[in-house]
Amino acid sequence: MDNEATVSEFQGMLDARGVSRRSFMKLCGTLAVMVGLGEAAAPRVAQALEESVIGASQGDLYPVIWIEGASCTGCTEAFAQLDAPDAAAVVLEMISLNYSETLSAAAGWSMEEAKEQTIKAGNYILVYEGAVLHGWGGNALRIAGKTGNEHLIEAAEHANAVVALGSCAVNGGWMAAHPNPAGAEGVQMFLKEQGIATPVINIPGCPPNPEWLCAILIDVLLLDKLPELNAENKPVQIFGQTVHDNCQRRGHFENGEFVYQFGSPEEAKGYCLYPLGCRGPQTKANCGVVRYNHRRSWCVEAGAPCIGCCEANPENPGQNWVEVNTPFYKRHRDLRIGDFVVQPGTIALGVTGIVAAALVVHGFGMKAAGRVPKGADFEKVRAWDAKHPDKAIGVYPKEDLEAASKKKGGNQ
Amino acid sequence: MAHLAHYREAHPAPFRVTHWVNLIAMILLIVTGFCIHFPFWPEFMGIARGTHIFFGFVIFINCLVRIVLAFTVKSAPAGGTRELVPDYKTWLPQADNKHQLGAWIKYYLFLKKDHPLSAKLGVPQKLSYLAIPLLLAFMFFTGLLLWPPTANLPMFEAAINMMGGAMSVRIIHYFMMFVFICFTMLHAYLANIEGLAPSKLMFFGTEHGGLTYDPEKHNISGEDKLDH
Repeated sequence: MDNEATVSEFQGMLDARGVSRRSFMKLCGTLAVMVGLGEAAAPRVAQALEESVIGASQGDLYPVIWIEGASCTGCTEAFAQLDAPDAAAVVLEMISLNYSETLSAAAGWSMEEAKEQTIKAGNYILVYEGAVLHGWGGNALRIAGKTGNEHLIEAAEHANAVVALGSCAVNGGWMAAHPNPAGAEGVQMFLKEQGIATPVINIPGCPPNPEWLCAILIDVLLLDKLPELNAENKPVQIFGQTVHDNCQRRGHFENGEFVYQFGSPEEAKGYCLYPLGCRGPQTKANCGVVRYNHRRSWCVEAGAPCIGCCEANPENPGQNWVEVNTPFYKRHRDLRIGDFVVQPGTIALGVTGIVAAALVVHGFGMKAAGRVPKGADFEKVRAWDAKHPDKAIGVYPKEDLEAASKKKGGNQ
Repeated sequence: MAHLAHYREAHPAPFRVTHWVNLIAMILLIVTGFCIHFPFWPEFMGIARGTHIFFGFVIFINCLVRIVLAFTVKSAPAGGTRELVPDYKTWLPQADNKHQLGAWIKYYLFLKKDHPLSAKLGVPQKLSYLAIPLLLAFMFFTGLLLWPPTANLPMFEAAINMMGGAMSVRIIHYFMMFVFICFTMLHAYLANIEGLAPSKLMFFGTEHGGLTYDPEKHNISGEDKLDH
């Protein structure tokens, strides 16, 4: 009817789900903030959602395959806690999660088939959780009759991008820590070795904050672009600054107010956890800004020193967060010589102590040799010159040179 | 008298100043470095960090200044002489030191009784002093890798990863401090074990009589009791 405002098809979809325009715009605002656009960009996001994602005009949701390698499923569990938008909204309405060992309702052969079809159709994103195990010919991990490596290669080859979710997927994580019998490494390194050029987005963390993955998905789905990545292919916006830079206890650090012991009055006051081995100053992630568990709290707020779970160099499985940061409550990591571990301070103080002791002993020797405080008498002729008088450096009185040359080995 | 005379020409005033700066900066860097590694004295932390960064630059710039001065200031090539040569020459191999590395090692291991003849700097001394600017530059570099304003530069980030991450850089920086501590202990010990005259000269410019040395003949030439 002409005198009635037309309700769009999209609005009808929202109504059918009991979602008001207001709460939809609120969601768009949250999404806009997540991708770093600011709340003012909410209408832009709303339009993008209406036009492409929800499927009002195109119909198809963006396909996503979520494969678990050597994982504890912690990353999936963390993602399942997402609340704005909630995980169900993401999985059901923003993307088409065609394969996930944990989240998919189906299981077994039909799931594998769905995955194969998705790969064949192309134009999808692969989320890979857990380490890549290339030990024992990849047989450390087998699913559906094939090695985990084969699954990754197949899915990564045709993907638009691979999201390596969690520190294990980035560089092997704690799987790659000593002794690493299964040969754990990260997705980026593995794909490089296999000659697969699909772009990799690394999202470290143990587990990664679900909002990080959501922000990446929104970037890719809504804005149709990969987020800005640093040299390690980690999103700059998330992993550009240290935990320390944005820590809520930073003020106490600046004041020189520290917790030296758990259960102490200083701990009760919420002082800085630096002496308890906090890895915030060397770990890059925006944990203190995004926070965890529905933005309720995060490690340091809860009173735990940062253990640096986001430290992950994709090109170096040895630089995994466990190897680099344990023992967590010490300021330094342990150094490893085979199965023997030692703190750097022990080595340094030990060597310095030995040098100091040697000097003391030497000092007594110098005293006994009569060189304190006046030193020994100078040699009349350099020892080498005495042996090689024809090539002598010094000009010596003839008698000195002759006397020295006669003595075997010069003036010993 | 077994000492060479200690003349100011061995350590002209500009070098005594850079040596003072080195000493003060090194002490402050070590003390504040320990505090930053672990805040033994919590209230001092803020001051320690500022001091550490400031004197890190001071000691590095001082090192550069000292290198420039080596080419512009003249100093004596050996103890016991007032003759002057461009200072950098006293850092390079000198005829006075030729074939004397073994002699020095034997002397300090008590395998040789008499004192080796030498240029102003003995062979092991010269080698270790030459290593200091390199160690200092490397120390300064690892310091920059740990200081956020520089650590976040892409080039420095790549260097951090090459060294195995920020933790490795911290440990290298920490070990290097002990290299400097051990050097300083050895340096102070060897400079003073045969009398405090070298320190008096280096710190206060106090001269001290002794044997004279002829840089032309590379040998002891007489004695100057400074009783003029």
